[in-house]
Amino acid sequence: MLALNSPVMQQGFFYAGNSSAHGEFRALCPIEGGVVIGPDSLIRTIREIERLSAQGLQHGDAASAVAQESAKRLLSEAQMDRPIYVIPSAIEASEGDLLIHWDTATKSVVLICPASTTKPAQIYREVLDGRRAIHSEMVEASSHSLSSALAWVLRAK
Amino acid sequence: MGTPGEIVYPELESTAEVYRAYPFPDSFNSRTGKPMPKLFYRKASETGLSVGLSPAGTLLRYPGAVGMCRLIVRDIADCPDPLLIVQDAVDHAEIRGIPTRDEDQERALRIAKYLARIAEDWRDKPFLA
Repeated sequence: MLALNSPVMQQGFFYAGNSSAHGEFRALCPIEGGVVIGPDSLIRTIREIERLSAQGLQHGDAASAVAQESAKRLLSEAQMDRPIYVIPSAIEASEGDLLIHWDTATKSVVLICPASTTKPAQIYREVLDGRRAIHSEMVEASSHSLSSALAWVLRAK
Repeated sequence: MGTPGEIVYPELESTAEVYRAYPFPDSFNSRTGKPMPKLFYRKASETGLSVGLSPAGTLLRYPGAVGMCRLIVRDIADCPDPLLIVQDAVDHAEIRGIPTRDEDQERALRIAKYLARIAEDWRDKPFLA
């Protein structure tokens, strides 16, 4: 359940059709651009990271333990900073790194957790005009920058 | 111009279609209906992204593929980061100009996400049955 006075609700992204009686909303709500939000986003994301790791070796590419732990820690700490509502559109392992993508029709955020501690975790952000990125940037990942990026991706502007 | 004996193919037409094989089931994102961005990350061992010029040719080259996606040459060329599609065999080409994530993480991600957006999933087409 999401409170009607929560920041996400006030941004006005919900489809009216998803609302139920008494001002409550279903657990998972698709918003414009296909992104899904829900109150249990963090736990779903962590479960998906764990599922991906279990499948990884079958598919030839698994995220390292360092990458997984880094992602889980950043997500958990970001949740303390500000509740995470957005559910990733893709979680993938590539050459030991773990990449988590959050996409809307106009913006994307990617958390990149490297395979080893020799590189810092990073956050990629882009603004889209149609299918093309018109602006992109990389910043070093911290719980605060991740929390800000996930709030930013849900904002209309 | 190529070296002696090397075949130099003409530039592909803008309306031409190219196909990128899915090596694993997780190459496709059922949530978005598109391939995963990782399908378009170039590895250091590659000079470009391998694409077939026909579905049959792609399957012949990658018999273990679990599917493929289709991209149109003009859409690839419309990428904000300049990319080249270079034909290097009768039924094969490479998308070049993509850095590895180690070389340039930001550009590699920007390109991969763009290519994933323009790609059309081609798993359920009759020729794969």
